[in-house]
Amino acid sequence: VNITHRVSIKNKLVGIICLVTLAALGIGFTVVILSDIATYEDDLVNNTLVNARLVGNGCITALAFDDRQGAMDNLLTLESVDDVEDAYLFDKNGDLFAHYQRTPSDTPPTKEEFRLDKASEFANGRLEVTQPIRFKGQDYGYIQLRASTAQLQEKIRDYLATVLTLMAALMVLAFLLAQGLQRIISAPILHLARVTHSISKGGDYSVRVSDRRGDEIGILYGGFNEMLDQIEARRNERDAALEELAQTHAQLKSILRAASRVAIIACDENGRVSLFNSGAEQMLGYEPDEVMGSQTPLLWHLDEELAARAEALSQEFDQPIKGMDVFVAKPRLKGYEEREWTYVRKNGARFPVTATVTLVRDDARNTTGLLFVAIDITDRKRAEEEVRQSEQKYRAYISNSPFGVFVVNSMGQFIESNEALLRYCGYTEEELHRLNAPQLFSPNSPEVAKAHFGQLMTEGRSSGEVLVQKKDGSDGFYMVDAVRLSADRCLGFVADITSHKRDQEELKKFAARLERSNRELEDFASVASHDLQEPLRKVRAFGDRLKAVCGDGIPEKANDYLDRMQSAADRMQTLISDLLTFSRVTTKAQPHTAVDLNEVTVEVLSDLEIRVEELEARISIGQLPIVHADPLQMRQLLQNLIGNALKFHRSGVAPVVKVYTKAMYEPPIPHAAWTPEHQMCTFCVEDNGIGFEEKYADRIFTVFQRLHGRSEYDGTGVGLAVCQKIVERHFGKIAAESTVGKGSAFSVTLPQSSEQKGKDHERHQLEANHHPAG
Amino acid sequence: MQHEVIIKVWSIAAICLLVATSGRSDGIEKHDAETVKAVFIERLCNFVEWPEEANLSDTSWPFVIGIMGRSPATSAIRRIYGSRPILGHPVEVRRIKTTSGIGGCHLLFIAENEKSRLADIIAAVSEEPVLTVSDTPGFCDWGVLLNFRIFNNKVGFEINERAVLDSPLSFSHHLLKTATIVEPVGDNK
Repeated sequence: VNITHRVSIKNKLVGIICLVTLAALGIGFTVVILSDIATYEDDLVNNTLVNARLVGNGCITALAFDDRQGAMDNLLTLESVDDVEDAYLFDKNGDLFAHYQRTPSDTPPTKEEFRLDKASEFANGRLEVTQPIRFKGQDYGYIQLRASTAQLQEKIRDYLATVLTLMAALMVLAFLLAQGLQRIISAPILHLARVTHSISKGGDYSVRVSDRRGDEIGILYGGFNEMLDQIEARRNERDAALEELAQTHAQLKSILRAASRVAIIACDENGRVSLFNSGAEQMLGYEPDEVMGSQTPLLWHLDEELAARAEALSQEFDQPIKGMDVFVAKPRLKGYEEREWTYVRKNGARFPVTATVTLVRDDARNTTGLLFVAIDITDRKRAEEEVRQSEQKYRAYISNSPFGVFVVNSMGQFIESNEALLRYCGYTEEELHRLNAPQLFSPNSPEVAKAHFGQLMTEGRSSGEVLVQKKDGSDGFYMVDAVRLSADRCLGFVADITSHKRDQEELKKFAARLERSNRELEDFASVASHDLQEPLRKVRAFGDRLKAVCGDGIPEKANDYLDRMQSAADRMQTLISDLLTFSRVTTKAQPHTAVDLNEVTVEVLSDLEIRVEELEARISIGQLPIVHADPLQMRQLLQNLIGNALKFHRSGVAPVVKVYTKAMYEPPIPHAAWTPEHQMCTFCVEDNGIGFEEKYADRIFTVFQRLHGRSEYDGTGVGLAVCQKIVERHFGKIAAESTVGKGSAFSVTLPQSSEQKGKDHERHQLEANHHPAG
Repeated sequence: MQHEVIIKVWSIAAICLLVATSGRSDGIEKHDAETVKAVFIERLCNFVEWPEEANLSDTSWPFVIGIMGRSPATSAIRRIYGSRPILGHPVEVRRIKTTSGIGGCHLLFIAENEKSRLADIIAAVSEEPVLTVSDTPGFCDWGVLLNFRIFNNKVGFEINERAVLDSPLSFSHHLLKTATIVEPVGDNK
């Protein structure tokens, strides 16, 4: 440290002031002294020169006319001049002409010593002045005066003594003034120094110096206070920032520690690992100590993968890339690179990762390292594989689907389509994907069908038949069900219903034909029945009249014939009436309503009361359902069934008839006429009569089919046919089971009324009423 | 050996110098007084101012020396100024027989044998810018401006201050200082 730095500011100021004063006085006085000495010398020189000239001029004519006495007289005038000691007069040839010496001991200068080149010269403590003597441009000679400098030197000595005394006095004054005045500067600075010292010792930055001054010290104080303010503020900021930093650090540390599923690895510029988080430990199986500072990420990369990558990058960049540059080459261009790699655990196990390599740069954009963030994507890979397989599977489903499947965007353009769809419309996939769904609609297509696409877009769902023009120009019917998946994607399923449609058309035509033919038949039956009754009535009437007119006159044989004829006519009457009944099942149908079969059964039994009593039949009626049916036809159905049960009884055995509900179940085939709440119910009419062979179970429901001869059981064979027709009209089913000699059971299935549950009133046992005592 | 040579050379040089110096110191004594007077004439002219009408402003014009009478000095003048200029002018020496021939002369040397006509001559040139010079004792008292005399075996001169004052010529005080003054102006005669 320079010594000046150790001296106190007070002493420095005093020193500086004294030094400046000394320098100023020194220089000033030196200049003055020198100039004064020069002046003194000049004065001496000038005086001497003037004397030389004066005396010289006086000698002109002495020289001109060789007047040595005159010259000497002139030189002697110098006696009055104290300074001049010697005077020498030379003629123009340089020869001594005359001389004067105050002290005669001096030897006059010789011709050689005589010098003309200098007008004046101080030499040997004397002043030599030489002057030429001229008159009117003519040289007459030279005069040389030698003056003593003793007086001059004495004068200078006195002068110097005075000046130095003055200077010493001034220096003392300057020192005293500096001592007093330095406080103006040093006091505030020393104050500042003391405050600074106390602050640096005590660390109390709240101290301030009073700064009510207008000068630079005031500015310094202000600046100092401001600096203290800033230091205080900075210290507070710094403390806050340090705290925040510590928090951030802790947070980052905990984040790094918590990131156990992600390997975060940082490297310095040489590729040495400088950070190895817990995720990396878990993923790679190395301890941080094993790799930090000693290993590079190349350790857990697969050599062949690195080599392949290096080769690819070398080609891409057209320069050899190897080692760590494999990771750095790409990030240098865009800052980072995300890539899949295979990592090798410490134990040799390999697994796929996605590693993001980022260049770490300092503020000056210099690369200071690399950051690897790697995620184990084994699960993702597996999931992807599963997704891929699943996708493949579903794709196979869709592409192999017998139905057309397509995906269109909001413009109706085809995005995806399967083989079935291409087969339907005849286009290739490329052709189809250039088309719009609405473009496929046939010009023959009804406007309604064309609106399907719009409906799909607005309502998100559309279903219906469309008429499509195939590539070959022909039209095809398709059932399309489409649903909007997203704003720009709709999925549709297409079924080719062209042939179905054709079949349906034909079926419709056939049904119409059948309907017409049925109606004709029914009309025919009705008409025939009515029209046949008239001639029959005539046959019977004229038969009666023949009997009444001829009476006893008719031979036995003829009477027998007549009886037979009338009997036949009666039978025909019954046949016609039954046929009429049969045809009326369809022609005279009434609207369906809720029919309580219990009530109907009671009515039927009251109609059959006489017959029941005759046969001593026992009739048991269980709880029967309420069905949705034509009430009159229900009555006819039960009447026929119960009537048949009574009719085909075994002789000598009292008939036992059971009417009961067998089961209730959901309709196996829903039909348009039914409402979904309609259940089906089955009831049975069972007897212990003669029964029939099972193989005739179907035949018995055919019109005019009889299993027994007319002699055994009367009837036309229409009853069960009517039953079947009624049941079928109600979309029900009738079936018969029987064992010969044991009895038969007819089960009827009909739609149940929705009011069934509401009618939960108590059912009375009819068994007692219809079962005569004994 | 060499040292001796140097000493010898210096000795010879010193002797030569002494001889030369001694020769110069008594130069006037060596020359005859007439030649000194003739030489002094040229030196005198340096301390004399001629008026305008003397036509000495142009150096191509001759400086005319008139000589009246005959003496050894006149022949010295003739000898010396045959080639030597005065004040830069070529010198023309005229013999003046009568006072009427004085016109046009700048300097007039009056020999001793003209003593009889001296008053006339003085009267003739007193108003003219002519420096009258003589070498005869007593001539100066007659009105000749400058008269050579031998003092202490040396050529000196005397000057008639009154005549100088009356003449159109003006004399340098230096000249007056060296000369012996005849008829000083301060005296009232």
